[in-house]
Amino acid sequence: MKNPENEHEELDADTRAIVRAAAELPNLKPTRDLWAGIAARIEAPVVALPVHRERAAPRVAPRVAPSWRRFAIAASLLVVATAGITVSVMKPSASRAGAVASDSVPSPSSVDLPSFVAVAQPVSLQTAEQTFDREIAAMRAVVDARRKELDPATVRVLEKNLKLIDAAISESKAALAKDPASAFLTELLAHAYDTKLQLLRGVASIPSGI
Amino acid sequence: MAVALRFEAVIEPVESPQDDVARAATGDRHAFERLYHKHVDRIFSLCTRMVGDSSRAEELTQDAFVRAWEKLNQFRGDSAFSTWLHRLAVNVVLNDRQTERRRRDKHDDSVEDVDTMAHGDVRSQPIPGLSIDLERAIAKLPPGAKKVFVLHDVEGFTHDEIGGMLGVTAGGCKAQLHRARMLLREALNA
Repeated sequence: MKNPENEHEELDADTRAIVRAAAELPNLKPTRDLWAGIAARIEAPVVALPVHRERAAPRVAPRVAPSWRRFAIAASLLVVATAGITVSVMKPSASRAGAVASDSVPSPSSVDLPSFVAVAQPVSLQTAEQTFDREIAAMRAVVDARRKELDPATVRVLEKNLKLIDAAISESKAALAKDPASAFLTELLAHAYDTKLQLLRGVASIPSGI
Repeated sequence: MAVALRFEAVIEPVESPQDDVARAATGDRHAFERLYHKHVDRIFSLCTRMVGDSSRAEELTQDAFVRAWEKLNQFRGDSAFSTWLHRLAVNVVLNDRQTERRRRDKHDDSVEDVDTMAHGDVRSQPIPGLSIDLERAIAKLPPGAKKVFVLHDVEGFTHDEIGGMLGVTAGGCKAQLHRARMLLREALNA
């Protein structure tokens, strides 16, 4: 029969050993690189369409719509951005809006359109659309991969809104096919693309379980 | 005026952790990536030990870093960044619905958990003496006891801090810790 005093000492020694071992447990390593998934969720590669309006342009200006060029420029910047430019334009926190990604990179909100024009190579409207489509597809893939983690209500709202935006994109495209030089329709199309991208990006950034 | 653009291919200067925190807070993803590499193992370890499921822990680790990116502007430097990040990761795990759902499905922090641990899983697969790994034994703890043990004995939080996180009293926290240690002792001595 065990001596209760010895038992108590054993218990005490075992407990101390467990506590010591627990404090010295080594760090574990993930089986895969987790950064890619994190980067996809925090990345904001698309430079928002410039908000500057060329209101000073005379009404008699040729109908090569300036907004078309902005759309194309935004898309070409998108190409450059996805290639790795360190520009963080969509920080989720309002207090970080407009923050710079590095010392040398101004935020879009603080940059005049001409600055971007200086580095952008305009592309065709078709190329611009393809670029947005590609970026949207990438974000869509992230959202689809996370679908099971998301609240069903969130997914429902997302799908409902995507349908509305897709309808707007289709209508804008159809209208543009009839009036290709329309600045208004080009703006509308660009806005719809941008809205879709922002929506997907926002959902992709939702922490799981929310 | 041409905008100075920096490409990822450009070699980054070596930054101190404090610099990286400050830079990440202004939106510098490279700085944040460096912070990630510095802290990922510790955060992953925390998540793994708290949920007992490494693949879910990987997802939660990602969630924790995404949340940190979102909230980095709220970090005021009152504590070390690692402490802040750690605390944030704990909250991510505690708020995780899937973990909670799994907990409800599989266990309830009741007496049955103690029985399962003491006489079920571990004893049904006896591994003599020291060959039982402490990690494995921790993973088999009932969820409530596991959280308290990991937070206190592994991560070094105080009973008051843990009580605040889990919404229990410090006394309840101490009771869970005692229970966890006894279960581990039993498992390790089986």
